[in-house]
Amino acid sequence: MASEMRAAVAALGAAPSRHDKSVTSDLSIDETLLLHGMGYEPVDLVTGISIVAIPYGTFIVPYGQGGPIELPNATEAVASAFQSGSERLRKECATAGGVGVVGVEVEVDIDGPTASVTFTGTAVTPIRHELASPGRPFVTDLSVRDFVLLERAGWAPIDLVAGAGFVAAPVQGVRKTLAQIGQNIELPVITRSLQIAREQAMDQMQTAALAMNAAGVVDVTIIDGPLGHSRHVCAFICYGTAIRLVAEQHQRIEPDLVLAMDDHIEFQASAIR
Amino acid sequence: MTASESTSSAWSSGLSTNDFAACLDSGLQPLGFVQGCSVVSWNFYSMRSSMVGVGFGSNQLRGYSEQYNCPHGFVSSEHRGYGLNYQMTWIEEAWTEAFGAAKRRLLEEATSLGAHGVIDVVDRSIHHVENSTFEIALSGTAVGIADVARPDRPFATFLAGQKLNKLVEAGFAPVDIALGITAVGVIGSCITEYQMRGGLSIGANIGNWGAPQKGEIEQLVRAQSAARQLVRERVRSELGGDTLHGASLRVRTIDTGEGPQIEAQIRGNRVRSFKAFAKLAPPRPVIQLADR
Repeated sequence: MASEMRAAVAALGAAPSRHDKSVTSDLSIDETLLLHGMGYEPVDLVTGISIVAIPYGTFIVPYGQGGPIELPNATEAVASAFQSGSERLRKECATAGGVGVVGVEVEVDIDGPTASVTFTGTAVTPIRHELASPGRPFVTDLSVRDFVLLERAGWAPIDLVAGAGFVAAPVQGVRKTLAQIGQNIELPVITRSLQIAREQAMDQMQTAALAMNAAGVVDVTIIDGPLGHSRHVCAFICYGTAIRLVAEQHQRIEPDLVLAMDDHIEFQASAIR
Repeated sequence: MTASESTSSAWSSGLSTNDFAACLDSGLQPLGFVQGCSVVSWNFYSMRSSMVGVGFGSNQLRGYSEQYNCPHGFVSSEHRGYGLNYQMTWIEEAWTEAFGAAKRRLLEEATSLGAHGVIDVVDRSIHHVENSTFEIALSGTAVGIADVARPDRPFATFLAGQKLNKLVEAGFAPVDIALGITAVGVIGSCITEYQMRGGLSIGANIGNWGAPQKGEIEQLVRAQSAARQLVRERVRSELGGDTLHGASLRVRTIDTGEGPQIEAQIRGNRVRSFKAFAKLAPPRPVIQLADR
């Protein structure tokens, strides 16, 4: 190790090779090594963003109205933000000469009348074109470790797919509220609202996956709960990586079992650390 | 007492025990804890609104700017005539000057100790006095290595310990820490304001009937994309063929009351390839048996 470090420090006196193209990446060194082992290298840090307006009045629901109310404007806004942001990310990847983007960090923000979705990841390309380009750049939020495992199992990522559902659970009337005092009961309107929002979102995500001939969606992330600014609105957003089988059949990975011999030690007193 | 004032042979460092062990393992010898800081201020924030009022058009701005003209013509005094996305170069310049000065001081301290480089650099940035005064402080551990000529300028890296060792084993030499910032201000056009408020804006509403309430807010998307693009271009332009490794891109949007201000910051390790990248053998998957 010491000789390698000496060689590294000694090399600082030399200028970088003129053939070296500047590369930016948010990958750790472990991820870079793993990626290299697969035949890929990072080319550039890429981003994609979309901010969509949600019309005024979307989240306003009449007091005391009966059942759950679907809010298609909000649903469409988030779905459209996902699609446009993802397309911009893919465009940046293609411009950088990448064949796909790995480790994509997705940020979703619903702030009153606007919905924004941001993607940040590292575009990758095959080393010296060892691997065939998959055509349309793939996009995945899988970490490089998961990407490697997926590839070893014979699968390949296609794209990020997403779904969203927004359903309002109207505030119940005074009579109903008074009748429930002192009782433990299920709140059927809110339960049903959550269920509808979830079904809508999952359905959209699966439909998007089917449209690209994916076999399934892995590593699904779910953001759900009441909206911060409109607590009566149940929101359900989900996204994940659509994958397809590229090997003839699934390749079984058989991990070895290891037993760590070092005990996990917890210090109770910070003074002895 | 700063490192340069130290006269004893004992040294101090910010390294954890693990990082210290890895540091010795790689032949690096800690020489001292080194620091550098700089405080700067700018006074341009308050001029945002006057930029519209006095017709501070895009021709007078440096760097990126885009103007969004109102399609309605004159409607009322409250109806905004045009919107503007503009690069806030004065913030970038102040920030770059502060970072450059802090890094120069850090490296000067390291040089005075006879160091080859500074590892485990920690950066800290603080806004003082609302948003107009800004401090950048850098600290790290100066290290030396035996039997190697000192480079003209010590290297610097955020890494230390096994992460630094793995980087070197992979064939990359640490060169420098890279930080860049870009700020883009947004003065919303009548349509942007209308969309950002969900179509509810008494002043902006006049004349906006029929404007799209749905769909992308183009001006904001362009501003956010520009901030991210500019900061990456800024850092990339300083790499000179090197690689920015382990970069983190952080963006924050500040609501100044006069429109969003988008600040994009990127930081990472500038590294240089010094030997061919050795292909890693396929890693062996394992499952760790654990109590919980």
